[in-house]
Parts: sequence; structure tokens; C-alpha cells
Amino acid sequence: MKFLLEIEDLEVEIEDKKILDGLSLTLNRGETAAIMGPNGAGKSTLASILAGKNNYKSIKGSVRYQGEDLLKMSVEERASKGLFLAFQYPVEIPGVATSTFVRIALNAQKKSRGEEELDAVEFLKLAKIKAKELSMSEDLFQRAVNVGFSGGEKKRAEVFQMSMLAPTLAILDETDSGLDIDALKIVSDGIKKFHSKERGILVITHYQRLLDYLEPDKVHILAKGKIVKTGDKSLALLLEKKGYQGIIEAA
Amino acid sequence: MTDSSALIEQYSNSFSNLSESFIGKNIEWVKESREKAFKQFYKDGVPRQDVEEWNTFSYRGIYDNFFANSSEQMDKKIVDKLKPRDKNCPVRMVFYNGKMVKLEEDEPIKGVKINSLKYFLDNCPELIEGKIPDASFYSEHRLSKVVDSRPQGLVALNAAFYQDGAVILVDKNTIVPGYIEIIHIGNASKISMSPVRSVVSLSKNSKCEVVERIVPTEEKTPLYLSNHVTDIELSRFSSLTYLRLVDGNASDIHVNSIHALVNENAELYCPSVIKSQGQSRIESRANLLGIKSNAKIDGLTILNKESISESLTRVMHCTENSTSDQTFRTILNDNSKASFLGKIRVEKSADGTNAIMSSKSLLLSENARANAKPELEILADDVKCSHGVTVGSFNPDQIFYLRSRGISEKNAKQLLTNAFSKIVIDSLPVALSKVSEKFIGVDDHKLEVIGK
Repeated sequence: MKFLLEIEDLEVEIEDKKILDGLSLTLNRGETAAIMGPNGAGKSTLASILAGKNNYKSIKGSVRYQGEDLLKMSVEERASKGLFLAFQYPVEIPGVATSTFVRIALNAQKKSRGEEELDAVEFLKLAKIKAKELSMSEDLFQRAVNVGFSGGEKKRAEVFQMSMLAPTLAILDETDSGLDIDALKIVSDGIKKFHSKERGILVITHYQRLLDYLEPDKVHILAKGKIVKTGDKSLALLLEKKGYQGIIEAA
Repeated sequence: MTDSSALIEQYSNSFSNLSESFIGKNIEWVKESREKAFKQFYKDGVPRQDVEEWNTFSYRGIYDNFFANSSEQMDKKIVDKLKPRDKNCPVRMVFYNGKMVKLEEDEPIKGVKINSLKYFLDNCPELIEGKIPDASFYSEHRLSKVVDSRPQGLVALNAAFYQDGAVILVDKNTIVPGYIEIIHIGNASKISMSPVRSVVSLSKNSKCEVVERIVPTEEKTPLYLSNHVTDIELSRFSSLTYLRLVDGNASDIHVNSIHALVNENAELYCPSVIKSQGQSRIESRANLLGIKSNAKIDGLTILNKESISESLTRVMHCTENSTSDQTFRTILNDNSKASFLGKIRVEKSADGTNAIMSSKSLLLSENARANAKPELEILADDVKCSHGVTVGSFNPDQIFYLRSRGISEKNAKQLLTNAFSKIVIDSLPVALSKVSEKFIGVDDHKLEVIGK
């Protein structure tokens, strides 16, 4: 059986510091997996490396995405092939309207896949539907990307981009942080709606609450640059009780 | 290299030779003002790098050549090549080598007098008497109380030699529909200059939009100095938008100075967009004389190859509760160089002033250079004044974010470049923002290349 994502023995060094140290992980289509771990364990590094950030000093091991060598692909190629990262800290782009940005991105991806591009009317129709699903105000369309957005608006806009771009693999890096309880519910509903048997979702989080909504198939504990324990959603509950230290020591 | 005193003598001879053909030659105040201006130019010459306002870089060709007033006849074919007027433009004045050759208008606009300076001096000089100040009026008033006329050498040269200009006089309570366009064409077979002297005067409660467009000189035109000075007077509650669009060839030098007197509750909005391949220097001076007067001075400069451009502002807050806003954006490719010399001065009597200034430069090549010198001279106590200057390249986080959504690196850079310039374009009234976008060729959806 072919995995959607298969990471084997990944080692990443950034500025003389080994951040990932022999990390292995697989994700199937249709699977939702959570990665949890203490601060500084390398969760965000893993997410950004998968998206194509090349701020590392050295990289070893292999990452296969849909059977292909992911590390050989450019950032934009990964996106066009269906990999999406919802950023922990979405970047502000002054002077570019959110709708313009998403439309350019969507059409760039479609173009590279040889699909027909959406015109302005078709795009807006789709965007309105998706925004409504996320209870996101359409005012955000005309506002510059993430500029002056509240923490919650930024995270919601990331999920909006995800549902517009319809990726095959979504990596959500602490998308729940900065959300109040109501917003968390809406965003989780958005992620659940996005879920399908063709897609894989990798959720990086610190908190149990998001997982209560998402009900992941697997929970991986990442510590000191590798996965130290994998289990089902009950592992997250155990974590809540024992803390990372308890779990890591037991592993 | 020609000796500078020999050059001055050439200008001197030229000044006496032309004195019988100057416009307004029989009008005493015109004659007197020209002579005074020439004396000033004779004394100061073309400003060199030892003058503070001219020390950023050395302009090419301007110090070692004699620029004769261009006298070549109009080539009708070139004028006919111009695209027809925009539907938002009811009046257009076409200048050829600094002289008006065509005044196109749908029909005269009620309450507006528009014609060439020559026409006014020939027919009704009394209407503009007092509206063209002496060159010395432009002198730099330094904090040390020294009044320095040297930075204004080219204004003095203009005031001595001007051959024509545009005059726009708007009566009170008149709102001019659309925008008035002034186009300048240059075509010469030898090194020459076109000194253009213009006057814009708005009476109480009137409103007007003007676009001054400098087109590249015709092919084979050698070094060409277009030297424009515009005097603006805004009466109470009037509002003027004066947009300068500057294009040019490598051999074109364009120097453009605006001086505006802004009275109570009047508003001056003075944006410029520069994409000349040659050398340009855009000066904007606003004297905020009345309470609640406002000046907004913006600039967007997009350069490539060996081009250089300098923007200078002098905003003088002279009385209470006036406001000003300066927003400059510069995008530099190849070996181009740009400079921003901005100054806000708040006089002792100008409590309640609110003034901001921002200049940002985006360097797209390792060899491009940006210079910025923001200055605040604040003599009053109760003042809000701020400035911000940045020079830099693309933000890698922004590039990564855009690429992570599937946008290629090239298009990501293009998008960021367009976005960078947008703040200047988006402030413009709709018709003028369209004109400006067309001028620089921006389209986010098509991501056409700008500046290259």
C-alpha cells in the first residue's frame, strides 16, 4: 500500500543545531493525524521543511509524497501537487488584497496542473461559499493579506485558503492557537468538512481541545527531534494527565 | 570638459541675444524679473555637488554643456502621433520643445481660463501679474538663518529663459470636470533646453485636477534639459490635485519644481510617478499659510538601467493646525539610483501641526542605490511629526508564504513589487489612478512586468 506521506529517518540541522533527529512518520489518505510535543521539539520545523523552507544547514533522510521525492520539489511545485501548510504565524502582505492573492494562487496551481483557470466571477462565487462555511466576513476579501487581522481572523483566513485551494495533504501548524472557543468550533468544522478519503491531514497542536473536535486517527508525540510514541486519540488524553515528561520517560 | 565660466558666458550671450524675442519683453515686471533671475544664475550657476541639496550624486552632462533654448520648428507628424484625449479629460495642452502648439478642448469650461503663458502675456498680463515670483523667492532658508540661493540655480535659469508655459486660472466656486492634461514633447537635433514656466491659481472654494505628462524625447534627440517651474496658489477652501508623470530617454534630463502657497482650509495633493530612463529631479515645495491647510506629496519612482532620479520636498507649516503627508516609494533595478530629500519645517507659530513622512525603497538589484534624507525642523511646541525611511530587498518570509501557495518565485516578486507601489497609486482619484497604472503598466491579475 502506498502512503500519502512517508518520512523516513529525517535529520535536519539548522544553524549547527540538530532540530530533527531521525524522524519517521507515515500518513495515509483519509487519515487525520495529530503531532503533539513540547516546545522546541521540532514540530514547526517539520511543518516548514515539508512545505519547502530551505533555511537548514543540512538535511538527511527521505520524504516521499504520493510516491515522489518531496525534497526535490520547489516550494510552489509542492503546493501545486496538493501540499498545503497553514502557517502558525501567517505572513502579512501589505498592498495585496486577500481575494487577489488567493485567486492568483489558485490559478497558478490550476495552470501548473493543466486545469482550466477560474475567471473573476467563478472565483468570487466559490470564495463566497467557502467564506460562509467558515463564518468569515467577506470584508476580508478586499483587505490586504493578513494585514490588521486579529489572531482569530488570521487562522480562519488560513483555513479559508485551504478550502479554496483544496489540497491533498494539509498540514495545520497550531491553527488552534489564538482562537476563542467559538472560533475553534467553526475552524474545526471547516477542517472536518475538508476531510475526505482522498485527503490526509496532519495537525500540529499543543491542546487536547482541537482534537476533541477533530477526533484524529493517530496521535504522534514528537520530542527531541523524533517521534517517540504513536497511539490513537486516547494518547492525547493520557498526555493531558501525565504531561510530556511522563510520556517521554515511559517511551 | 568645458570651463564653467565659459559656459556662463555662453548663457550670458544667449540671454542678450534672445532678449528681443522673449515673451512679455515689453512688460516691465516680466523684464525686471528675468534680469534679476539671470543675475542670480550668473552668480550661482548650475548647482554642483558642493551644494547640500545636490550632493547625493553627480548629474551627467548638466555641468559641462551649454543648453540653448530650443528653437526648432514643430514637426506636425510627431504631434499627430499622440493618442486622442481620454474621455475624462476635457482640456489638453500640447507643448513642443517648451512652447504650446495645441490647445484641445471640448468647449470652454465656465469659470476656467486656460491657455499658454504667451497668450496671457500677449493679451491679459494683468491676470498673472504677481503670480510668478522672483527666483530668489525659492531660496533655501537654512536653520542657521542663512538664505541660500545656490540650490535654485535651475529655477533661476528657468526664470531668465522661459519661453512659454501653461496657465490655469479657476474662478471661485468652480469645480473643473475631469482632469486637465498638459503634455510635453521634446525633439531637437542639438543639445538644448526647454524652460517652461506655468501658473495654476485656484480661487476660493474651487477644485481642479491636472496631469502634467513628460514624454520621452524623439529618437536622436541629444542631451535635452526640460526645466519646468510651476507656481501654484490655492485660495481658501480650494483643492488641487497636480499629478506629474515623468518618462524619458537616457539622454533626457527633467527638472521639475513646484511651489505652492496653500491658504486656509485649502488642499494640495501633489503626486508624481517617475519611470524615466534618463535623469530626473522632482521638487515639491508647499507653504502651508492658512489654518487647516493640507498638503499631500507622494512619489512613486520605478527605475532601471543607468537612470537616476531625485525627489525633494519642502513642506513649511507656517500657521496653526495645518497637516501634511508625504509617501514615497521607490523601486530600483539594474544600476539605477534614487534619492529622497524630504523636509518638514514647523514654524514657531504653527502649533497643532500634524505632519508625516515616509520613504521606502525596494532594491531589486545589487547595484541599485537608494539614498534618503528625511529632515524635521520643528520650532513649535505642540506638534505631531513623524518620519520613517526604509531601504531593502524582498522579505524572504513573504516570498516563502506566496510560494507555499503555488505562486512562482518570479510572480511572487512581481506581486510584492506591485503591492509596494500600490499605496501611492491607490490614493489617487479613480481616473488618475487608471492613468497612472497605465503609465507604469501594472496589472495584478496578469502580473505584467513593471520596471523592466
